[in-house]
Amino acid sequence: MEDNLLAIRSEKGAGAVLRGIYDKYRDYLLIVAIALSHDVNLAEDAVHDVFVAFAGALDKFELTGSLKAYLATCVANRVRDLMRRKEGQAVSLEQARVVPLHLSEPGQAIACNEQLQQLSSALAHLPQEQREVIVLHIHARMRFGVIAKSLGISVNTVKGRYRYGIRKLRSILDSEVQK
Amino acid sequence: MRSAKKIRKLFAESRVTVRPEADERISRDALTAAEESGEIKLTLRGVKGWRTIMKSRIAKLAAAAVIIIVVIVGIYQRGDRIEVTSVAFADVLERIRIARTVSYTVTVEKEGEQPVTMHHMLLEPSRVRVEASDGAITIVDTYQGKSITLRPAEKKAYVMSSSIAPKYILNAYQEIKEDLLKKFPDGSEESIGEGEIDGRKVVGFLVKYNSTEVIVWADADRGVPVQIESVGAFRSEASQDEEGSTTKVTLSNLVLGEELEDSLFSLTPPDGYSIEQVSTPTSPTQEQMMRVLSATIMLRLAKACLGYAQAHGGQWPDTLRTAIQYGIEDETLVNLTDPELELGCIYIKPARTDPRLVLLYQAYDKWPEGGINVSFVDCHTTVIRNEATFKEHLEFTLSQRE
Repeated sequence: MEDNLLAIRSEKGAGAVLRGIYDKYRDYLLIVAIALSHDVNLAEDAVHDVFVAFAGALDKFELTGSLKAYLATCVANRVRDLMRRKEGQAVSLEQARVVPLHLSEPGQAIACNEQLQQLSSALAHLPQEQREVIVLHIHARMRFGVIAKSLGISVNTVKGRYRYGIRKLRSILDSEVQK
Repeated sequence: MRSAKKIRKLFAESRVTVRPEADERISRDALTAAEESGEIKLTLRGVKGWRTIMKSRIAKLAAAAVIIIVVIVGIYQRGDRIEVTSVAFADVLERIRIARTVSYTVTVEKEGEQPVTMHHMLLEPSRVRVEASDGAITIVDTYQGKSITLRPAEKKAYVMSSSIAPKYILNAYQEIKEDLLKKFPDGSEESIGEGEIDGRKVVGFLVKYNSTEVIVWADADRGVPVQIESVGAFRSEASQDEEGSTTKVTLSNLVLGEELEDSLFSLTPPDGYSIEQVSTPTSPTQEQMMRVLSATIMLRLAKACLGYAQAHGGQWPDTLRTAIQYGIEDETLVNLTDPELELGCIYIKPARTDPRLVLLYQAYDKWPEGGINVSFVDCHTTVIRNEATFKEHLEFTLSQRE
């Protein structure tokens, strides 16, 4: 409801609402991006890019669903792009277990609490495709059908990625508990 | 599914702490880019197509400029063109949030004391003019870290420069405004119907914050706030009083977004004035300004410490400088109300997360007449005027240490 209202205001040119949208969703989207990338610098860039793109095309923008879900999907897409660019420097899963991936470095503009670090570290062990589905379904509360549509894949594929991802997370989290 | 539940819980408890610089960066870069950029062409083709948009830094910055331009245009459109048929509290708050200039007359009525009236003018992001009832005029420019108090009757100008780097106090008033707005989230208000102020039809909203009741009166047609009344302690986090005595504060003649002449905020003494350079505040207004600024910085320091503790499993930093990546740098440790002091404020590493514990307090040699700023573990920052009261807090805090 509120999202729709914001969208309507934006259409009318009440651009200050952009700031409201940013304030409202900044932390939520940063958490999406950090959970997906395990890298706060990349997450910051992704959220920045999404808001800039959103603002730049506001006059042509027509929202048909939830703005929150839309922005979350945009962030997921952007994170994927940025990570692909970094592919050459990608950290292997084995390295990921021992290297704190840019979550807490001096001078960073964003700091994560312990829960987010734990979450991001666990998700970093999953393939990107499974991570996306889990984050969009659990955190963004998007239904499998909506995720499938936004990613351009079948619902069964989405469900499969979710199932495999959750199964793997279970073993990761259980092993952490045993430690 | 157990792990899904745990993941859901981790998401729900996940928090990020974002330094103000991160938010400011886009605006700053955008303004620079706006001067350099030409035509901006961006397209958004739905969820899947948006990825083609961002190809270069210039494109990003130019697009960011659009945010600023659209926001600025939006301010004027909202103020002058858009008709508001029924005023919503969210609209009233939004008008406060987006205002780049604010002026109002503030009247403070405290039990057993004479009412005090001042006129404030605020030109964001950094300039403030306060006209006191005794004729003194104080102008503060937080960007330059300077202030001047003019006493027209004596033709004297007291010029004060702060030793703190301007970048740390640039948006001090913006932060105060944001703090105020946080206390009045949309949905927390009760409509109290219509009224009339100076012949103007207004609608009122009642907001309760702790033990304070605030009434925001807004123009019934346009949604512009025209008067704010409070009984209790309607002040910013950075300046609220600890004594809890009943105080009525009224902001009347509230005007948002009017054009304010630059000359009103000039830091140059008028011709014929004798000039005195001072290192400490020379007027109650100047002292109050510096105290609020100081409290704002302490609030930031406290939040940085809290951010550190949140990111380190509840372990607070050993020293203020330990929390450097969370917003603390040497310049923020200066005591604005007494810059001569080597140490700006004292940090006490909390034994536990208990809001009754003192986290930071303003250093002092001799107890200042106006009291000192104190931040507690929950980050609430307040001025404590009574030394005995402060010592009670301090002794309790120290008694809780291992």
